[in-house]
Amino acid sequence: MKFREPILVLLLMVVGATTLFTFFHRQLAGASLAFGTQPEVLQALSASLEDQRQLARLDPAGETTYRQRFDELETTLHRLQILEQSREELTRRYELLLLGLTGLSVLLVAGGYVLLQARQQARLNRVDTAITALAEGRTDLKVGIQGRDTAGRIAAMIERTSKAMALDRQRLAALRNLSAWQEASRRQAHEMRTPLTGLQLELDRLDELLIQLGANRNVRDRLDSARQELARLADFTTGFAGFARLPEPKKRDHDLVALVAEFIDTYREAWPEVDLRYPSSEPISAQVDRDLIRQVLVNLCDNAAQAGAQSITVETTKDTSNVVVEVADDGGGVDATVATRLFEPYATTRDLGQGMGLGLAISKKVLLDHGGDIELVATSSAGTIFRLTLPRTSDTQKEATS
Amino acid sequence: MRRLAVVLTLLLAAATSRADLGEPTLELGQGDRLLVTNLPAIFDDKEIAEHLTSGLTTTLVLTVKTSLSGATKLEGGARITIRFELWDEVFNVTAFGSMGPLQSTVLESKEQLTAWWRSLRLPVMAVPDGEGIRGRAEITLDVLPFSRSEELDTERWFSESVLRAEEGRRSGVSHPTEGKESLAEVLDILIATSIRRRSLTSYSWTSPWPEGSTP
Repeated sequence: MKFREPILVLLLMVVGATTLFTFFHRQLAGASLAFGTQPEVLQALSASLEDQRQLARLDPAGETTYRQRFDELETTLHRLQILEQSREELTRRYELLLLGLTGLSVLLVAGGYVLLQARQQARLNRVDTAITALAEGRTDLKVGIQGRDTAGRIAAMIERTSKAMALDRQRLAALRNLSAWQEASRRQAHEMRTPLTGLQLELDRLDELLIQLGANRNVRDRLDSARQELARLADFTTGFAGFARLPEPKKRDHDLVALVAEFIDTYREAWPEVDLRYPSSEPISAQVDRDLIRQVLVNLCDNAAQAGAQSITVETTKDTSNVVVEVADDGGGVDATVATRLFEPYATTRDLGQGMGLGLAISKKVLLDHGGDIELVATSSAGTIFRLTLPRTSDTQKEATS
Repeated sequence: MRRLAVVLTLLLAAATSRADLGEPTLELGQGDRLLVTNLPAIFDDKEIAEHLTSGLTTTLVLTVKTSLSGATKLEGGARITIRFELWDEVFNVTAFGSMGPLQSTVLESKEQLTAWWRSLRLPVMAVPDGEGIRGRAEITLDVLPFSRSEELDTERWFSESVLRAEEGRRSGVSHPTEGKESLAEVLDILIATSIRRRSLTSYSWTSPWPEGSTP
């Protein structure tokens, strides 16, 4: 069965070549020879020779000319006579050559066909291997087949699918990780909130008793200090609770370019010492929760400003299916010790009490909940670039929304 | 059966016709030269007669072979060229023996040609000294329709004609190709070189070795 198709094709080629051979042979082989050696042609030449002789007799003065013509005609006649004598052999040689050339052509075409088939088979084997690997769940596959033919297109699809699978796995893993952290934070907040509330009430009652007993100022100052620490602890607990209770995004169609512009205009007032820029571009729509995306941008710009950035650029662009927002700053860059776990909760290099390291984890969760992602593109002492990716609103979705 | 009978009759008639021509004789000439004499009157053969006056150089190649005892093989030959001058209507004939050109003459009619042919004593080989042995020799006469030079001239003309035609097809102007050899030209040359002299007809006889010869 494996050789059935090639054999059929070869058979067709041989039949085609034989038909062509027969056609050309019948049409052409010996035709020119037959024309040159027609009895009429030879008779006409012989008659012309006789004419020249007669002319020479009748006009002796022109004998030299007639003799010259006679010799020329005689030479031609002899050549044609020799061709006539060799006609059979000439035709046979012609047929042999034609047959040889036809055979050679068939061999070359057959060889080329077999090579192409072998190449195609090898390509299909690679596609087969890649499909099996894809079915086994392997991601980031490289099939290694180029071209616009069917095999090439299938290979490209396999590579795209495996990339998408890899991305989905990363997102799922990140979501699971963040969900685990959220659950832990929720429990911690819950466990801490009740004793904190009780402790605050006890401190309030103690403050009232000290006033009634006329305690001196020094004792009350210490009590105030304890209350401040308790308030800071309450803030932390609120932070835990906020991370644990991140709301589901309420997505609506928004122009991301306008959203970024509006955010920066607002943020400029909060951080007047930072130069904020946003290159203008055409509107790009996406289904987003406006407040949550703003929170993400606040987190990134806060981090940049706290890292000493003098300038922050937020650029909004698009590719075939996504809106891409890049936030680039000229701050001191991300510390190498936390770069690999940057989007995990509590990953921070700040001093205790200067932040819980929840901002980027919350940003990651927000982007993943939008079907997008956030990634650290580059970081060095010259600055940092974060890239936010969000699915674009397609024209169909726009029409459905409107 | 009837068809077989017809074929056999025709073969017999052909053999009888050949036999009617007579047989050449071998003689020992001066200087121990083996001579072929009494050449049969082949010019009455219709095919040869028509060809003789075509103007082409008819070449008659005579070969004598003998296998004597002691595994000694002897072979010799002679050649006769006959060209009918179409303008003057005369036969230019030249005979070449084993020693080179024998005679060259102009004959005015076919009868003279036949008489000259019949009178020829063609030396075909020098008989070596040795033990006297009796035997028979095989004499073959091949009639070639044209000469080697006419063959080469026609080959060249045929090739040039084809090349001129191809050049004309390519450029619309007909002129011979100089120095360029494409595959098509090679193929044309291969076809042109298939112009070869082949016997118009052949005769063969066996003749007794001449008495007194000592091959």
